[in-house]
Amino acid sequence: MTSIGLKPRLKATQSRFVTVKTDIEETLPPQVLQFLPVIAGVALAALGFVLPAHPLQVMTHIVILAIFGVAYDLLFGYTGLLSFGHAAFFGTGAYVSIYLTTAMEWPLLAILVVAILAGVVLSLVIGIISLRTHGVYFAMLTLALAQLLYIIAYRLDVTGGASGLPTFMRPETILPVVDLGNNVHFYLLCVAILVITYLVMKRILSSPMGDVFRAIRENEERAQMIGYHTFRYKLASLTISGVFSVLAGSLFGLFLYFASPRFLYWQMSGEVLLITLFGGAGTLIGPFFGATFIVLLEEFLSPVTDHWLLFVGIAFVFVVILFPKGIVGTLTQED
Amino acid sequence: MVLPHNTLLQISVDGIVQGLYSGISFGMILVLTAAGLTLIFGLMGVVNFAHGELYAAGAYAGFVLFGVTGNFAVAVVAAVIAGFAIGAIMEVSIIRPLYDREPLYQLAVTFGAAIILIELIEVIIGPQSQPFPIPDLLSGSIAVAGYTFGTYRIFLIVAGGILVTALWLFLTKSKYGLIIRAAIFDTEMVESMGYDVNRAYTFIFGLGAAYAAIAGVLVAPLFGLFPEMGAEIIILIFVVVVVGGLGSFKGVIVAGLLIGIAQSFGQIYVPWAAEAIPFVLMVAVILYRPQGLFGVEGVFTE
Amino acid sequence: MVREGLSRRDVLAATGTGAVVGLAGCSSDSGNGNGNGGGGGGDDVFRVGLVAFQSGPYSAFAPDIQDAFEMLIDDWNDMGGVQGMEVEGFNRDSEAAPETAIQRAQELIDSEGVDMLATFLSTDEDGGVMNVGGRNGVPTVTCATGARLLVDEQCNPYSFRAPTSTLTKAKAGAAGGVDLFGEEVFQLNPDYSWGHEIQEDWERTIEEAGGTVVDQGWAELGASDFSTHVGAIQDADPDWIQFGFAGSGAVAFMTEAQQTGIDIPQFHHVAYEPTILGAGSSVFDETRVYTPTEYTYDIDTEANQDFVDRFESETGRLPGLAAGQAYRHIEAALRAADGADGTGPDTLVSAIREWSGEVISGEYNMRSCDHQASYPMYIAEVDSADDDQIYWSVEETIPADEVLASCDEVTGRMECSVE
Repeated sequence: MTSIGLKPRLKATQSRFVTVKTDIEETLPPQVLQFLPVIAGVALAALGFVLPAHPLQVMTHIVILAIFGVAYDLLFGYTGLLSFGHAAFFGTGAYVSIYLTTAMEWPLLAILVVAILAGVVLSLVIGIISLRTHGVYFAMLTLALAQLLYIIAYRLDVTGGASGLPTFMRPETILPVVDLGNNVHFYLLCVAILVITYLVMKRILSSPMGDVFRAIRENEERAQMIGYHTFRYKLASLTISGVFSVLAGSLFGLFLYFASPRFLYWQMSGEVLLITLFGGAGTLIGPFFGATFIVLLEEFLSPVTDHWLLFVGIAFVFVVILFPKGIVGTLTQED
Repeated sequence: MVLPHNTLLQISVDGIVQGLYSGISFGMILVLTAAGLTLIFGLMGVVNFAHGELYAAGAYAGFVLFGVTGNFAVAVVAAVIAGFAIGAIMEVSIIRPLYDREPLYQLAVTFGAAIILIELIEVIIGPQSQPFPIPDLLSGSIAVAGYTFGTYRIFLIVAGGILVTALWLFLTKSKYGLIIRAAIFDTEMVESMGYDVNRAYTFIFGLGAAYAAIAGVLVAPLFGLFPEMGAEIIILIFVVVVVGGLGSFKGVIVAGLLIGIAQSFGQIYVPWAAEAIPFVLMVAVILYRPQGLFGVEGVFTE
Repeated sequence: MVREGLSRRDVLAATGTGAVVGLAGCSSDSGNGNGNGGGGGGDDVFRVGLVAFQSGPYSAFAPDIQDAFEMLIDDWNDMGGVQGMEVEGFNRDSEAAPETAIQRAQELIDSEGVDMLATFLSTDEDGGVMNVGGRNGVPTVTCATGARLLVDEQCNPYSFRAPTSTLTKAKAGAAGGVDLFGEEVFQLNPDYSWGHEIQEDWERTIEEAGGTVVDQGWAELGASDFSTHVGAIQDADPDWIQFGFAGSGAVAFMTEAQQTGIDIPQFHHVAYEPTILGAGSSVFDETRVYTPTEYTYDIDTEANQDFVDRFESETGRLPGLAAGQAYRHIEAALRAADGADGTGPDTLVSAIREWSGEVISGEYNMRSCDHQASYPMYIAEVDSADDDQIYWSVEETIPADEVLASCDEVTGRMECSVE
């Protein structure tokens, strides 16, 4: 059973879990809708050709965090599972891409394939342990498991211990015109993966599987009674989310030419939760705006004050209480 | 990798005494802190991610008052008051608006509160470590049967035991404790009797926070103070409540001491794995009993 | 100004040689187009960027680092600048997070067009920023002592650093400890990669110095409960303790040791003043704390006493280890740059890697074989302490050639070697 508190007040109102039924697509005509992700992707890509070096770095950072956030939203926003350990996926991705680039000198495509496999394996291990529990238990277990990975990475020699793993080059690609060492090319790769991630998630969510995810979010007991093996669906949601989080982490490592145990630390899990809730959980594109908000907030506030996180914390508390649907959910609300 | 160990302590009576002494005293800190967390969860269904920061707040409140008065008892009282006040304010301002929402939002909002509290400590007191001397009366050591024990750690074990017993007696035996528990299980009935249920929630949250705060001030003379001290312990506290069973009072006591002792023996015999022991223990318990050793999911149990 | 930073990066990216140059380790002769044209040429300003932790767990050191950096920039402008050019300093907060440190360093290069980077960072941030300097062809001076791995595997032709702390400190400390107190040593270190380096280096050097390790303990990095270890120390009853924790672990250990009444001398591998002061000044009344150190205000050179006086009159406190380290390393790089002919990155690199001379703390040699600075080490003892100051006295001076492994011993594994 999903109920966590036995407080009658909680139980009676459980179905009020914030559901943004007014997804952005319902406010737009279907013809536009069909091409919207592509149009947005092209617009984002175009930015890559006009931005100077530093703003391009900032934009790349946003796009990578957005991929992470979109992946997280499938699990949190659509399946109703709060993972506090998504850094495990993100950090693993960074180690995979950096290690394979430096030690193996593998090309990008091979690295991405391994990243996906690593994501599947890690998701299954974490899922089989943590999905035996529900609600806040799940949150605390995922947190603890991710911390365990952090502790291990901090000690192992193959991960470079605390010093991390650097790479001097980004991997080769099979296309001769693409040079990932060129930051514009790398940015375009990130945008492409963001668009692919979005389209894949969209596809899954409009399939029967997506309906089961939502049903689990609304009321897992009921979904079970209808006859769904909810454990399998939750594991599927965690795995899909995990795989794309690993991909995001792989890009993050290549973005910084570096993998660090800090990418496995619980603060990274907190960051993706912030991004998703700021942007709007259960909106799929919300995390993009959440990532934009957080990265720009840091960009502008950190030169002014050492305590910019204080403002992030305050803004976050306000958003959770007053705008539970986040930026996107609030703007696209119909009433 | 070499697997170093303390050869002189290897499987000896000394090692066992040392392991128990360290493990129980540290475990008692875990029990005190986790008791507050499990109390709030068991009665209100809220998991407070900022619980570690309440532990830190207690330490810092005690630090400030100890600096002014030089009296440890005053410092402890200050920590209790500060912890209770911050907890009560949190409940009224950020938790109460979320009662009719999915509990995950309450966890999320307390994550925001944790960020705010850490930054506030840095702004108000400063980012560096702060010293908190052991009070003279409790410093030094006691010799028992040829072993020396730090007086302060013995005090910690005794004080922790008393505080945990007091909380248990209050909730299960006192009239007010029973009303509070009743209020939470059957809101309408208790309200019809003329009690204010909202006030009970605020009180419970404050009480749980005060227990974290008192753990913080008690541990400060041993470990010192730093702004991230709460963030550092909260993961271990989560492990304790998951192992013991969230909402279970007995579970917290057993799991807190168990993890304290396991880690302490780990440091003596398998130091390279000591840090991972609580996590391994947790995974083992979850695979065997997903609701924890003594947990009945979602219920406050004695 | 911004264009200039951009063009350098674009040249590297476009030719695709930036990275290759780094790996091939032939930077000074490569002349891949950016060597002559880059740098501050044209606008008569020499730009130095500093990336250091200002917020986060290490922020207590920040005032020392910032004040020393600002003083250094002012001092150079008072002296007429580098090669007659005004020196401009840029300051960025790494937030003690590698991802932030890396992005700030990149931003200093892209947007401010710095000629040189300096860093004062934690072990987990250092490698990432050294890598930024290497990839972009900007000389990078690392002021904080760090892990051996950073020198062995992660350095590049553009990175210069304080000696890896584990070996130099161990050599100085082991010699000093055995000399001052005796042969039997207890080791207690943090259980992660850096702690393992510390333990190995001290054990080896203790044995070289004629001592023996009677027992050892490990605790996790965030450890706050040292009672089991203190028990083990009591059992072992060593002549002195080699202690590898900094931060809150050091505070907890000193408190526990004092509480248990252990008055065995402690050799702290790292002793940053703001950290150990966290144990409270009274701890130092009874506990004997020593550290092998690169810098204390008690170093007896004329330049240092002048620096200490000015630092104290400007900030109201004595310069700590962080202040001295930051000032000294960047000073050496600026002196090298001042003597160079031009400010192109490769010109600067060849000037810095060959430089030797006098800085505030006395002699300073940059070794071209592994890009590590070499200078004497000191065994310092905490004399006393009050609420906001540690008072040191230098007990022994260990000459530079005794603490750093010779170039013959190390060149085989040095990626940063240009030879």
